[in-house]
Amino acid sequence: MTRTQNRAHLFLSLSLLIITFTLGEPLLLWVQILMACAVAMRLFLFFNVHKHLPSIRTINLLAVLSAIGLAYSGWHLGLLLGMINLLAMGCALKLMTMRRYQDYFGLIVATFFLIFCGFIFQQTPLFTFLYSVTILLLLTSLIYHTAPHARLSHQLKVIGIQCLQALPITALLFLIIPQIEPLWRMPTGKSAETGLSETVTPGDIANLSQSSDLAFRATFSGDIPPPEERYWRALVLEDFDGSTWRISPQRKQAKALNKQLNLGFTPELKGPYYQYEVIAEPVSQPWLYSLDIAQSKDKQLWLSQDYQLQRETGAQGQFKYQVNAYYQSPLYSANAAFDKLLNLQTPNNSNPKTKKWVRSLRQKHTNDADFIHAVKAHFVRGDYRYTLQPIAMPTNAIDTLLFDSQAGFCAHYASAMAFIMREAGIPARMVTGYLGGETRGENYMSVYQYDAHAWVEIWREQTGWQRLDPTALVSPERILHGLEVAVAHENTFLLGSPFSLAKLKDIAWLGQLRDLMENVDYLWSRWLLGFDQEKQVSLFASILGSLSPYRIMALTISTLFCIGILLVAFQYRIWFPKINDPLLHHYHLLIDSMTKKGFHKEKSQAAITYAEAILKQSNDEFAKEFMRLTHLFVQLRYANNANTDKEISAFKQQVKHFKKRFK
Amino acid sequence: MNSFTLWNKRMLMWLDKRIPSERKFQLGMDSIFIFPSKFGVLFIGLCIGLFILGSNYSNNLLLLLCFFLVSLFLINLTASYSNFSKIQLQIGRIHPIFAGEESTFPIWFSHVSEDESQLPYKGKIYLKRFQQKTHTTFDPAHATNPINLAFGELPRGKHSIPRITVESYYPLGLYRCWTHLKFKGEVIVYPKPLPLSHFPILSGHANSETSGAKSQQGQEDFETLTSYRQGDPMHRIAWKLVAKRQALVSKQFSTPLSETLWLSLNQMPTRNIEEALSYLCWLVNECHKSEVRYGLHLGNTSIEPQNGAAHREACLHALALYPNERSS
Repeated sequence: MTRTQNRAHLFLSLSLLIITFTLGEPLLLWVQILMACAVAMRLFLFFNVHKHLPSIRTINLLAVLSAIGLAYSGWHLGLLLGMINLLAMGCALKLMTMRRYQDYFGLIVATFFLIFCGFIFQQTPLFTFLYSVTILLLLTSLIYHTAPHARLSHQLKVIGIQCLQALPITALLFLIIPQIEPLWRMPTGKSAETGLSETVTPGDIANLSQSSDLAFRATFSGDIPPPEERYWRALVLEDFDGSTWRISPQRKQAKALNKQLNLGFTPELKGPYYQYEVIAEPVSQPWLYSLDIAQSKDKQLWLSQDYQLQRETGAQGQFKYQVNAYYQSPLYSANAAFDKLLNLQTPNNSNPKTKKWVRSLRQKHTNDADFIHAVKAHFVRGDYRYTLQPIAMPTNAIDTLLFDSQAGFCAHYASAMAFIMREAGIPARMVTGYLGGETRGENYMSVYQYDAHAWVEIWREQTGWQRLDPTALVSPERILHGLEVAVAHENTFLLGSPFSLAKLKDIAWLGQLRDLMENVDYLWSRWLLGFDQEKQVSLFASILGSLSPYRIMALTISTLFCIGILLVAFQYRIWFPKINDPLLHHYHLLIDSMTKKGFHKEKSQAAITYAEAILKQSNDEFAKEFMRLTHLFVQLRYANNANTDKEISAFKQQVKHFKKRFK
Repeated sequence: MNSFTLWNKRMLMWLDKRIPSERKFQLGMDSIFIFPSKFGVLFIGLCIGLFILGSNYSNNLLLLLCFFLVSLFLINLTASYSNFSKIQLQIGRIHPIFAGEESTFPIWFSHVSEDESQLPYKGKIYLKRFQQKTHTTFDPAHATNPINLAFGELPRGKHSIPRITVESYYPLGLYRCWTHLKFKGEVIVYPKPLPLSHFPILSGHANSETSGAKSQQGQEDFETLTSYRQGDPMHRIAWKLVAKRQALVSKQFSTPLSETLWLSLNQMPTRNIEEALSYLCWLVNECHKSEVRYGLHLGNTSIEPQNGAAHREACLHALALYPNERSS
């Protein structure tokens, strides 16, 4: 294998470079740098700047160092990420020493594996495009390996045609090959922790509000809830230590126990419901999003006694589930005593001012309903502002909020409200999730991380857990028009990312671009990433009518048949070779028919001599006719320079006629 | 090892029936074999791995990619066959060689060395002898006809051209397309010339038949001009006259040394037939060089004294085929 100007190696290096840098986060920085060095080395070789590969001894030394480096910096990465880093590192080192065919093919396969890993982490249209380009580069490298001297344009044409031909077959295979359940659990990497967190110290949600990442999408079949009803519950926080709300440890234990005993929670449901499907973006935590009481037939999902929808574990990739949400059913407590016990606790020596204020207010309003009404009135009438830039409240945050700054965001108000209620003896808890959602098209809405919200639920004997959102009292715009409008006065929406499309959507074409990208992304997630066993079965059913084994077999066989037909059609030239010289071709056909009659044509014999020889041997009609045709052929072939299509087709007709007449 | 050669024999017999020898081949259904290459098998393994990975992660993009690669694999089956089936090749003129020289077989590929875009088939082509490892590689887009296939040394005698394996991996290296072709024709291997230091004939003594004053065409003294006959040496053409008269004219010389030599096996100072033939071979060459008329006795055959290129060839041919006489 020559080591200079090897384009197969060049394209392989380029695709390795692209895949290394698009894999991004899962790869360690120094592994990426190692790869960049290896690629640079190959480029030097290609452009003849440098003539020699490094010696085996150098590479071995480098390999040992890298292995130590990986063992040191990668031990905490977990199995999946560790393996990917190891693979990338191996590729970089092999690229430096690649000499033989085996090395080359091994590296091709390894690069394919790196691309697969990329697809595990990234499934957006953009990354799919990038990875497709990488695969094209790999294929180009392969074709340069078998045909090193062809022009690039020709190689790309061949690859392009092959890929286009592969697409219909890919689609058929994808639709027809049964989607199987995971065979075993695969190791997962750490996915981005951009979701809600299990603890809320007022301040956290402000950070979250600065992210324009997608949280999930919901597709409704039927009515869409109005903006003020779009409270997506995610987490219930019942434990408060004066500054931080967290999931109560007792609740966690109870949940674990229930799960072990396989005790489901099926609350009483009544009234109308919203029917929708959620495609959640990848998060490693097990909680899910739902409107009020969610009911799902999905076996992976279960509802806990605090009305929190959960799945078994977090998983790599998007997660899709169907839910019926009963929005008028009250959230009755499954275990009132337990709920009460958890939700009346307040830390003893925190927020003394608030405690004092609550005590005095409670003395005025001994009735629960009156008291709640008074507190609400206080929030509405008081000079409270909604802001994303509250002052720091390290201690007694609720006192500071209520009596000093009077400015905060949802978590501050929710925290204060829940604290006030608990102080007054009314069970209350904080619920976090999302509020809002941009509707697009007819029936789906997208919910972003900046829609994150916190509110309060209070428990009354008659009505169960009831939502009480203090933010709605302070800033009704937040509920009705979303965060952007609510903080418009201080211009802090997505302050950290000034060029976010979500922020620039007022510029008409940018807004349109964002909408377009959103729609593409939605269709991508719903129909491509979300195509599962269920959709496949319903597709079969819609094609076949019923799913009897015979019909499925017929479908399978006919699809395979289709693929066969396509394969044959793509290379029809094998069966119908191209006729370069039609005139000569038809003359040869003529000669064939004469040979069958027993007149063999010597190779050196001229056409006329041959015809004369036949005429000498037999004086039949066909011999004369053959003479005439031969003359015609000679005239067409040698007299004019260019034959018109008409003349050729006339000759063809005559040959046909001749063959039919003198069989 | 033994069973391996037996298998080879069987295979060759089968191939003789399946692809009989020809001067010219157009590859097609009856002569092409196709099977996934090592990389192709690896590639299928990759697809299976990808399917498992895609199913386990419930990742539709991985599954799609898997099916895409499988489709490519399927498409390449016909694509590589189609490419390979456009190859036309024929054997060129084979020149006789001396034993100890490397035998080469010129093979002409259609379209090679024409315009690259006209080339109906692409990709490197590997040529090698049937069941042997060393191969000759060339890229038809970057080669000139004929492709000379070297098969190493051959012993003295007449050899038919061995079966040749032609391979291609185009376009993606997933399939190996190959065929085992047997070309008609044979190669004559002359004995290896061995110099004979003290052979008396050349010094003009014993065993020679003198034929008086009859002058022989030689190179000593210029005698006359005759029109060029095929086989006349180039250095005797009167180039100056060619320029004037526009026809080839040979200068004729007269040689006072007008001996006729008879070379025979018995004269050779050895009992070993091969060695003797080698000496004779050298002598024939020497005689030819020094323009001596010489004849050859070989067992039952004898070639009358003559000189010239054709005569030399006839003699060497006889030496090559001894003792099977002149069979061709």
